[in-house]
Amino acid sequence: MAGQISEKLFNFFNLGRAEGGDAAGCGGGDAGGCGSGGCSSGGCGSDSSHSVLDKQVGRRGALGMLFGGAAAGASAVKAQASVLSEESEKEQKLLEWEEYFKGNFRLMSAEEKAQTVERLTSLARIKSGRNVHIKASDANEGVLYGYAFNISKCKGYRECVKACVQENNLDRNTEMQYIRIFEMKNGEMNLEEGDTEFHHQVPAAGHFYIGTQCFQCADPPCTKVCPVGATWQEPDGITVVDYDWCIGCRYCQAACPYWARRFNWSEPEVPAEEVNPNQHYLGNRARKKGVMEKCTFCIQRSREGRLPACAEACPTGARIFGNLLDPNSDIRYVLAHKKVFRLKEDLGTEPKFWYFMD
Amino acid sequence: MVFSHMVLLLVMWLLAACSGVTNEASSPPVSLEVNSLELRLLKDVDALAVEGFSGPGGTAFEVHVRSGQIGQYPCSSCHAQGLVREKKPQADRRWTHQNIRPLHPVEGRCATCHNYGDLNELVLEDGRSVALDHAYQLCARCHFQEAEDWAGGAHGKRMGGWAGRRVVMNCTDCHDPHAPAFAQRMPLSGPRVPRTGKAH
Repeated sequence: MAGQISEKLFNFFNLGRAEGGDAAGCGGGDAGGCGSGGCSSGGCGSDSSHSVLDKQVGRRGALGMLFGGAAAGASAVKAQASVLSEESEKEQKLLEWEEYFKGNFRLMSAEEKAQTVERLTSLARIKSGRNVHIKASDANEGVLYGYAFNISKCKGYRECVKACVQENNLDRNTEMQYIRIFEMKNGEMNLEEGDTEFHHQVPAAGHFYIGTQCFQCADPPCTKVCPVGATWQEPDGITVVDYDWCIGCRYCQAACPYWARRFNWSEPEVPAEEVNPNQHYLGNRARKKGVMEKCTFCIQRSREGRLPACAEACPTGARIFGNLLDPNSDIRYVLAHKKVFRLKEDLGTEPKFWYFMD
Repeated sequence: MVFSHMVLLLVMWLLAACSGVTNEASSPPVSLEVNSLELRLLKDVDALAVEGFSGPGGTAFEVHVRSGQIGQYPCSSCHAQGLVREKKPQADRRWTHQNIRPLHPVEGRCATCHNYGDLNELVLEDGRSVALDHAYQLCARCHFQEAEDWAGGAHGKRMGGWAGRRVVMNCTDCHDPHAPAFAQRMPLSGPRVPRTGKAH
């Protein structure tokens, strides 16, 4: 990591030297302006084999090299000058600069993914003093996840909600929850008549319980409205968010007909001892203020062949999860043998989350 | 002038970078490494092949072994010969099964399910003996629809994950056979901020 920055810096200063006698013309001490100005006019890329422009870099990458290098240099000077500056603080600043200028996850090479995972792991260790294990694993071949929820079985205990909060490192401060359990009068099918804030002995007589979360729609409206391509559907059917690419415009939240997306109004707070260290880049890794997040069917678990935390925690067996492409899976049995329905089917969002009853 | 300034910057930065090299990220401790294969193979989970039922598409599956978790099992440690009690009962009522409220089956007796000839086992209505770990065979005699769903995957709970070896919980893992209905209790805390339905 440090070596990479120094290489960029080396390239950058070489660039200055390639301009040679013209250097004074850059003037002003504005390193970024000098570098970019010189190149655009002089074709410095062809002059120097170490030039920034020799590499295939995008606009963002070039900015990162220029500003990142300059800022790293400046912060290094500061660090050397101050006896109070700590090594970890310096490392954190450098890592954050590198992170700031990285690309969209979908466009990253395997090497770039490994690098950002390493940086995020280091940052997590510096900030919380704990080791986390962040994966960036791709979707498994021949897998499309589906979910079924038995409204006859759910008793409203909310064990799934607790398991979800713990598994996905959800903000404890605003009590963010992906799952809502509605208490409904028998015969009622309008969720607006349901009560999510019930606090009495459950199951209550004359009521049934129905849980909602992200339905991982096959035709998701939320991904279409994202102006920056920060949210998309993975090949295994899970709709994910790149938290470092999201600009927090909340269009996706407005587009979702199921209120499945959540916004971080403040920096998420999770006590260090409660952080789940088994993380995924597109799942439960640390989020930040001003970005969207959502249920990912516990991508960090499901891609390992495990059940989502909610399905595992359910004490009544109301939650069925499996591979829709496997004809012998539990979920396919439910779809073939039970009367199933989905919410707001008329919208054509094709949720991969079915409800059924015994 | 600017050039020398830059060289100075570079030198100082390199100094900083060199000292920073020792801070390279170390690999996570072994305990955090998830061996997904082991997980899928359900290591350390005791399971038996299910008899008399097949999963979706005729596949074989396994059922969780529960007898080891029953405190008073094996029953023969007290009842070596049928109902005759071999050892002196303890003061605790549980040793004489007085804690059990036999709500189920309605109008049943202990002998409806328990094999009085060999108390380690259960008995079907046709007199055949069934091991405690295959209790689902007994339950299925009345609850055939549930048993069919259980074998298929629509009833009950699967252990481990959605992939690989299929091990499901036994009926008695979740249901108390003497009072099988789920009890009423307080739910875990819900959302405090009103945000849905009429309170939106």
